[in-house]
Amino acid sequence: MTRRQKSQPPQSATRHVSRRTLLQATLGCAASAISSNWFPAFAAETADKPRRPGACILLWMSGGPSQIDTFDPKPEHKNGGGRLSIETSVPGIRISENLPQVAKWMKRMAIVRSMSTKEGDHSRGTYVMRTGYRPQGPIQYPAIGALYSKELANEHADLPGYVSISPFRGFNASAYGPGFLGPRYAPLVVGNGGTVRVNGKPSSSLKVENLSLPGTVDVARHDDRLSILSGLEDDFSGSRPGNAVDGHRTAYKNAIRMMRSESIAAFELDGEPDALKQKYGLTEFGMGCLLARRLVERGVPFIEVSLNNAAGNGGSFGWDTHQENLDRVASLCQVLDPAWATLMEDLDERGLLDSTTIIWMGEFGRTPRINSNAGRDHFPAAWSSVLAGGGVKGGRIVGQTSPDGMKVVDRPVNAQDFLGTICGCLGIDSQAENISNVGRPISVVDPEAKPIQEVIA
Amino acid sequence: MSIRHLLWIIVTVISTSLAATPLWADDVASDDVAQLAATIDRHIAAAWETQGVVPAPQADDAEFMRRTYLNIAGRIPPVSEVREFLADTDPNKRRQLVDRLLDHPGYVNHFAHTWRMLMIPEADVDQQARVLAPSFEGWLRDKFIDNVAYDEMARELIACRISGNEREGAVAFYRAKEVKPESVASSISRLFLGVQLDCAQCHNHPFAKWQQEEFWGFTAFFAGIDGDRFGSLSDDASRREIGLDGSQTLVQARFIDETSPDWSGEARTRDVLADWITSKENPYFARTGANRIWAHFFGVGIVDPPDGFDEANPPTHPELLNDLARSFAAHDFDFKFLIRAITASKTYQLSSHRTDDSQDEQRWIGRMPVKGMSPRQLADCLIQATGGFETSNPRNQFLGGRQVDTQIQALFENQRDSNVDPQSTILQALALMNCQFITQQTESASSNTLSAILQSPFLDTDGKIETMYLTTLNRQPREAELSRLRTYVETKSEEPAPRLSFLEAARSLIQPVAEKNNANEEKALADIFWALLNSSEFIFNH
Repeated sequence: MTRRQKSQPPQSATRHVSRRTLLQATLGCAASAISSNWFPAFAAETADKPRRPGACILLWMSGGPSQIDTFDPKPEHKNGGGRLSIETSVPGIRISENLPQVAKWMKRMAIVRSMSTKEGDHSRGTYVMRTGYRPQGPIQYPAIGALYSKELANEHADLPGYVSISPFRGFNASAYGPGFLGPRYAPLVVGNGGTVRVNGKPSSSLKVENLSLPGTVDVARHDDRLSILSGLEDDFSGSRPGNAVDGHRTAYKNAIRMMRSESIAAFELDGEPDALKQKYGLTEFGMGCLLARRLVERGVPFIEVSLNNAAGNGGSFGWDTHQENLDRVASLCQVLDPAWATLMEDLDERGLLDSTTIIWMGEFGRTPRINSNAGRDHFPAAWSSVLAGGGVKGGRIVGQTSPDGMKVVDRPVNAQDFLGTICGCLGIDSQAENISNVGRPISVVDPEAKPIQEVIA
Repeated sequence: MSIRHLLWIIVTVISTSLAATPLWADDVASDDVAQLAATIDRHIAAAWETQGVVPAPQADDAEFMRRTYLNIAGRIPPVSEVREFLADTDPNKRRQLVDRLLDHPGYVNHFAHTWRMLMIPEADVDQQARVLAPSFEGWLRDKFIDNVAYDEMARELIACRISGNEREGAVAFYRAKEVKPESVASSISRLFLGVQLDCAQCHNHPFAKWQQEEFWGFTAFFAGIDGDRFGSLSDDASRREIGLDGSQTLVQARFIDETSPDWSGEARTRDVLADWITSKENPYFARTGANRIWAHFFGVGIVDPPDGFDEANPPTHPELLNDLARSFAAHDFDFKFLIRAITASKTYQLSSHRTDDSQDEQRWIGRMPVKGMSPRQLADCLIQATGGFETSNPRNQFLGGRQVDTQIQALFENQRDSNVDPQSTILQALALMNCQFITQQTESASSNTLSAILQSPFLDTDGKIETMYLTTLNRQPREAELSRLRTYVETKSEEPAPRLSFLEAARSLIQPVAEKNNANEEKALADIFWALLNSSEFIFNH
């Protein structure tokens, strides 16, 4: 309501009522459709919104991060590239020297060192890790963000349940979509992960575009316009019912709800203290993590933040370090380490870490052997991912790779097992079914999945 | 079951007539367009019968025209043409419209773009591949300008000469696939054979019968190509074996029906493949092509998705698919012939207006499905409706026309393949409500169409509303709509002028009352124009 009042001069409140009454008289059913169908009573709904059950932040490492240079260091072996490992806050657990700040949060983290998947291609790997299923003919599997947020979302929330920050969708755009769940579960995308941004003022790039009314249109006039639109929509959906028209109406309803919600203040990072921003790191990813915290505070159940590039890393292929792996991973970690550690700390200080599960993963790992370009290539056979925060039994390692890192020697975990584990941490029923676009019910996670019970709190 | 078995099923069960009647039957009737149209209607009606579908009534002229313009020229018609067409009393005017549109530059642009999206879908999501799209689309445009036959187009693509730094035309297709034999092979098999072999790339196909060896056997036809997206290219035209999934196990080139190619003479590997694929005896090629054109007009293929030919995914109307394919081949794979026949059918001319529950299953086509538009189509429609800059004018690319195109394109880029289930997102809704382009085009001072309508001395309020309908929805408003909107404009006109700035207030003191009402009326009409541009009826193809 504050927003609505702010955008109008004081005397307009009364006129607004009279205009509305007038419209209802003239437009009949069209105007009443506004209040019943298009936008429910916003203020009332925001007031009695129940507390969300839990939230998930996915830190998505586009391109496939090197496990040896992050969470499964091999300082003793030549495949380790001569890099060192460091102590963490848990005695006996060591990770790469690239992640000193994250190492301090080991007590709240579980590292899975035995990821073993079958897809070594960016497109297919991205699809499998982000949907839980291999691309199979006509079935349009939803991204886990869409699936989990559907399970966790509050129906009456002003913001979408799935926010995707700076996604790089080049490898497989459909792995970022709502698939057969439909447009209602599509992500709200902010930031353009496809472009390299210079450090400096990245926060402005994380705004939702076109969120405010143009200068020449005030809320009262927007209402008038929507009343006309509502009439057009009623006519058209009456004669041409179906998904297309329903999707259009849902998108408009949610867009208008969001435009008029106080929750959009989440995207205003300007008010955050400079010191905190510095701590996250003045990078798109750092600011994305800060934004994720603000969204969690406002009840958004699933937020993903993509780390696609680092300054001086060239191009937008992120962790796809076929050349100069050691240097490039080090520079990516300089972005990752402060942002992630500060996110943990920030959530913890606000009492939100216990209810927020943080996932770190990419589409696959990288070859232990260093290639002739000092790079590492695609490697799905033995790699690492991390679970942290809410619902996770921290301070532990799952699985083990051989000394040269070439194979998993203990507790192999495939994509389905890992995604099933996330469901467990979030308290989602992984066997809840949705009807797919081919008419077959499909569970959130494949029934064959064997979640890693020992890390689920 | 083997591939041979599958092929046998396709040839004998689905198309019992194929064995008896060769595809290239010469006995084509004189009015073959009407004849194929009648065949389409006969098969569709037979399925209605068995499925208990009560079809919708025929589309009126306005509905037919908008849909046909969108499907062929890729955008909505201009007002003048709508008025002319609605007034035309020639009983043959629908077929005449199709003929006109097939000679329209819009056909070339729209079909080149549509096929580019099919052939290099990477360009819509991958920025590197996007760089290659314009030159490839230019190549396709040349094909559609010359009305090059489908088999000839396929042949040029499959057998294209690859060397050096060549980047233009068909070579761009190979570069977009990173010149990787497996990527090119899977794309070619989807495009021209309708089968998704690529799932068998790393493992045996989970549902269909494609085995890993078959994938690599097909990929071996492209084994000779080498290079990368932007570097120098080479082609060993005599190479015809490849390592299975990068291993040492060599697989020889062979067709997916498991027959071995005839390598006699000085055959270049991909020439031999092109011969086999485009042969009129190839049971996949004509069907895949006909099915794609069908899907273009109906939003759903007879086999859907159109690259999902598979025994687990049978055609809804097998005989229809055969007849379409046979006619397509008999007319030397002429796209325009097939388009004329499809659009002349009663099936295509059904209204999208739902009159019975039984019409809800889109695959039986009891009514015309409502389809989404491609990002480019939507951008072009917005430009057509608002009089915004023509993107085709290169000068305007600097002035902002191009920007509209890319803005809209970016917002709608994750539109799925299946355009009968268009995905509307919050971001799209926000853009269509609030973006700069829409704002400019719905203010009289900055919009071409709106200001022309508002300032026309010949139009009263009804006339203005009517013209806005013709501009956006390409039809006359119904009486109920007109009276509702007329009341809106009248009510608004009588309201006191909205809150004014100091300057405006000062000016209003010396302004006659009539002019104030006029400003209010203009705003009210602009509101209607805005609502029309945001409506489902405008945004969808129906």
